[in-house]
Amino acid sequence: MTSYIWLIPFFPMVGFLINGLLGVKFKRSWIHIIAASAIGLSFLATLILFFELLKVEPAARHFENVIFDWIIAGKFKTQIAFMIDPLSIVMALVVTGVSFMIHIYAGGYMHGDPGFRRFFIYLNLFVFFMLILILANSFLLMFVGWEGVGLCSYLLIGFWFEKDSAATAGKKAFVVNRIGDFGFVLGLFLIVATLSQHGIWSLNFDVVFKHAELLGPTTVTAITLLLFIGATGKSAQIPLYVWLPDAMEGPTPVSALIHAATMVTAGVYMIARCNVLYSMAPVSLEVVAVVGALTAFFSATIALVQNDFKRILAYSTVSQLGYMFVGVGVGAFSAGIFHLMTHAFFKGLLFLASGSVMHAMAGELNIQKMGGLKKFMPVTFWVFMMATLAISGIPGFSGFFSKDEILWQSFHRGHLFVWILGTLAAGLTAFYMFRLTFVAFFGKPRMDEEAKHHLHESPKVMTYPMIVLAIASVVGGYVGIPPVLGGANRFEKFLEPIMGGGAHEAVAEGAKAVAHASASLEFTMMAVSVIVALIGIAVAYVFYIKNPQLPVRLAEGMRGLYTLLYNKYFVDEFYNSVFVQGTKDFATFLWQKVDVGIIDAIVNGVAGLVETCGGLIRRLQTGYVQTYAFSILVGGVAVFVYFFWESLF
Amino acid sequence: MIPVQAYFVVSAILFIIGVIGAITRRNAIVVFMSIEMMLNAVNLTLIAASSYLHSIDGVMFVFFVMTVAAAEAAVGLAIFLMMYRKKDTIKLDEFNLLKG
Amino acid sequence: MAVLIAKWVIFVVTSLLAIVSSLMMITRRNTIHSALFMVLAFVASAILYLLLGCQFLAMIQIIVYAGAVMMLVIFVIMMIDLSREEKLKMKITKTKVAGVIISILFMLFLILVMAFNSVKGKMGTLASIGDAKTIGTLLFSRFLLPFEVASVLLLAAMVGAVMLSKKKAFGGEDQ
Repeated sequence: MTSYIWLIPFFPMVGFLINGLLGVKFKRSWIHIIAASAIGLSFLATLILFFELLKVEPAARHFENVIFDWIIAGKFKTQIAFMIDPLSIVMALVVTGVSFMIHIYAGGYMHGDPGFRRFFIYLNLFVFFMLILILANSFLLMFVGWEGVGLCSYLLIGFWFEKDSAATAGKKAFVVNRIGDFGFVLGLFLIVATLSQHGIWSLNFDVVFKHAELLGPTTVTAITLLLFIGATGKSAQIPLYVWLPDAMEGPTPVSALIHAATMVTAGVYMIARCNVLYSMAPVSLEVVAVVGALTAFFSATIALVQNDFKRILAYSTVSQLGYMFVGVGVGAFSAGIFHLMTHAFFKGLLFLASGSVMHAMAGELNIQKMGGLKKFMPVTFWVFMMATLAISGIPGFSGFFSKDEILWQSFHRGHLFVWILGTLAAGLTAFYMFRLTFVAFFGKPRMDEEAKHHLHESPKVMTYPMIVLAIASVVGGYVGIPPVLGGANRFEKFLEPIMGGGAHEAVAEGAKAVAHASASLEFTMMAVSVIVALIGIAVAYVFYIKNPQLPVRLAEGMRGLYTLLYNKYFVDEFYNSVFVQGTKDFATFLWQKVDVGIIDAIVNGVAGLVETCGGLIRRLQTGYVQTYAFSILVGGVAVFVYFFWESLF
Repeated sequence: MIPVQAYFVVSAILFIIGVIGAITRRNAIVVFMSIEMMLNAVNLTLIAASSYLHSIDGVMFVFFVMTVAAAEAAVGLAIFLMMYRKKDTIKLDEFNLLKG
Repeated sequence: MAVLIAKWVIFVVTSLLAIVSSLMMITRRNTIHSALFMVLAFVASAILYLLLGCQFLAMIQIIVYAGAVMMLVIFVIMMIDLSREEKLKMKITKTKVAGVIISILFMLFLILVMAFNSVKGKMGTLASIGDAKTIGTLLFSRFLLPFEVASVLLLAAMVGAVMLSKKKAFGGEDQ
């Protein structure tokens, strides 16, 4: 079975190449079919591999497919090789599955866009790089995918590059990601530099993890923190989350694909992949958990007051990514991945539904101008409702299982602060999601007559993928029903073989605590989170259905807080004035003082010196023959006198 | 016998007159003639030395100098004609294309 | 003795003639006058050559310079309207003054050097250096290659002179 792992990234590549190189004259429907079927075939290959993998006994679920030698530099050697194990197959399934749905959907959504072909080229290329990232068997190849998705993300966010805001958002995403990537690369360097002292010249995951003990506690902490900087960039965590809300300038399928389901989860995946290293560094784990919790809470508060449909979802994504980091940060790596999966379903769906709304509203995104959409777009409303319930953590929906797992694990592993923030964020999540639902889909239509006239349900090519994802959002959680609810938590069992770090003392203790916790406590915890969610929903109901005047009054009553939240804590402004402006000032200083003042001055000075000397010597060249004759005379006389001076005496 | 140094002195004087003519006059043809005069002075020196030393080499040298001088005269005068056609004058002050 | 005195007289007279006529040559404003003084100076030189026993070169000097070169110069002067050049005043520049001073100093230096030094060199064995037979024999034996090269040079000079002085090129373009 190892021999066809390469097929998974191969299909998107082929789709990219066909559309990219030959697709100029293809009909739009053909381009769509090629792009979507490339992902579909990739999904199929992943599915087959998944079932093959299930046949193998758990301990042996690890296969590598070496394509060719890539870099051989002295002792250092690395290959282009793909790896399949429970973690990467889960990721690959999520990525190819959700991408497949989004590809189908995008055919309807992008219908009529002049960049139709370009869009699908980028999309396929993106999936290709994402699969490289996931299936890589070494840090280096993972980094290729990591950078590749960054590139595609830039291309796709700035897809409508003629719009200034889109171009800027793409640039912002790229630059912020670069900062993170810098940390990632430093982490890789540190691994190589340290391991090579022990004679290990490799960045392959299995080699590095096998020799992780050689690294020493300080180095491991440094490496994991550096890698985590990379993760904060890619997965939009504090302090590098600022690019994600702006990234909503891209077409909505892009938001669904990149900024909900795939790329932003790369950081979580990376940490889960490196669980061996992270388990050795409790400090790093603590940092990950706290950063995750803070992100979850703060971005949730920002989402409370936003009016832009997609921006709410964007902050919600940041917040949910925070949960995932809480999961991996407290040592419950499989819980983080579980939430990653369910989140991919329901957040992808939420974005697709928002695209459907945009499609009907002719691009309008302000939820204050919507209202009553339920009547016009029943399918969109119902799938949106499913996803909202899932993200809010209502029992029975997928989000409940995964989020609850994370909160429960964090509580039991002794991260009380993280747990409190997480629980509060859960309540906030329920509130802002239902606020969004109530404002946009319930109540009286607030759009103008003409827009209202154009309201329509989206075509089947868009609704069917949403329905599929809605089903996944509902049932996706059932693979990980915890034992206390009568399930077997198969998801965690499936991932167990690769979570080798779980055996490490610090994490193992926590796991033991979880295992020995009483069922009643776990029920209590669940009840708490459900009640918090319900309170959130109830508040939203009161605010936006029962008494719509209340939030306005509240906002006026707490104007300062409202302004703070509405302006996203002024983080963008802060970054702008401190980092961007600081860098600009520094660059201006270098330009005007150092470059112009010193370097240019030296260069110009040398040139000026030569020019002056040349100007002086130039005068010798009068152009008159007789001047030259005079020179000859002087020279000749000098030579003659030199030779015959002696004979004079 | 007239001492050879006497011839040398005469040729030195002729040579210097040629030099002065070449660097002071502005008329290209006079400059040309001054140069011929310098060549002539050198010829005189060579012949005097040759005669004094009873050696034919100086004479042969003069023979070739004259050949070259004749060739130079032909080409040089043709160039003066060209200059005149271009600028309507052969005043050397008018020709300074090499000016830096 | 009488021969020696005669030789001295001839030498002094011709030398003075050469010097004076060459001085006249460089000072005349009229180009034709200059040219004629040049002929005179060359003829005087030819007499000095004769005095040195070099008949062949004396003849060549008169034929080539007084004949051919002179003809060319006078032809060119005739073809060119030199009235403006002839009206030119002497323009005195620093270069010219310096050049004249250096030249005169150099002349004094040369005269001093030559007057106080004997001619050093390998004495030859030839009795006569100037007769046409000796030179002709050498030209067609020892100096054959330079002689042929000189003929090629003359041919090249001839072609060059024709090309340069032609009014129109072969293609009819303005030269």
